[in-house]
Amino acid sequence: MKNMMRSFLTVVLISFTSLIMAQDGEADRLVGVWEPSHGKAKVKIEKINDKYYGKIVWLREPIDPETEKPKVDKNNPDEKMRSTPLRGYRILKDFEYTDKDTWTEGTIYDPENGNTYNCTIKMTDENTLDIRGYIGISTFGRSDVWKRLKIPSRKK
Amino acid sequence: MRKMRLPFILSFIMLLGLFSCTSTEQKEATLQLKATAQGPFFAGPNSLMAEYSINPADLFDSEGLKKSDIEEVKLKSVSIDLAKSDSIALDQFTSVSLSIVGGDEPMTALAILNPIEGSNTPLTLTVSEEADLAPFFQADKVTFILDWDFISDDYREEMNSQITLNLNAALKSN
Repeated sequence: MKNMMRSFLTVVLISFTSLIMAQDGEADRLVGVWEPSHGKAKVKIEKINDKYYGKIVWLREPIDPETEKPKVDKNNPDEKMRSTPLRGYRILKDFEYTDKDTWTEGTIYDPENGNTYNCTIKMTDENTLDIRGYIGISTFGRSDVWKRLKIPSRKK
Repeated sequence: MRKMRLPFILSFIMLLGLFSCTSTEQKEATLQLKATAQGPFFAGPNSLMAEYSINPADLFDSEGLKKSDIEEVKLKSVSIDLAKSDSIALDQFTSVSLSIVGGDEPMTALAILNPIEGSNTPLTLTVSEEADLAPFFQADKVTFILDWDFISDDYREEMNSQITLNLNAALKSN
């Protein structure tokens, strides 16, 4: 009887662990480098403490024509932080995997106006994200399609 | 009529006395952390992490201080130093920034230095005027994220940095 109980508990534990690992695997599909439709930047999404964050890793025009120096976050509402470089800036913050193919509870920052919006990310297929930024309710917002950056395989 | 007002006035004075017993005390503290990450690091922004378990009584050297007693925590200064054992020099970076994440709070930028000039250490960062760490100090654990912007293309070893935060806190005192 004791052995049966032990086997049962082992099966339950393995099933539970597999379920959590499968869910983590599903959520981690967001990790990678993505390109917004305007093509002006590339954003690397990574996981920090079970949440997802996206930082700019490439800019088509990295130099500010006014200053002739690398672009900085000149519209940051906090004046003291306006020297933060745009390359490396985390524009996506605090996303949690909440439902099938959807990450919510996060925000998106628009460096062109210094505004932060609520945001929902929906993965429509393995290489496409529907990014919806909004204020208040999701009905009043704007969507953009981001494509996964494919790393070319090395030629032998 | 005057007799009826007296108990109300007395109650009001007693309530005032009760509330005046809880005041706010300003206290300073220094938090030293070691942020670390394993290479390889590539050109561009790379993150080092430092975890910190919140213990207000220990941090503010105040026995019996609870998390709920913390009303506001502002940054006075932030300085960063490279570990002497690491074989990388400051001229390998263009900028460095510090953020905090933890609990249910959104990730918050705390300090920035851009560009890094000269070779003197520790580096003194410009701190955010708006950031308040008090909500983070309600969590059990927070993570400080130190982003170094690398110039060099390839650094394969482990990297360590010392973070020193000088804090100014408003604490409830009874």
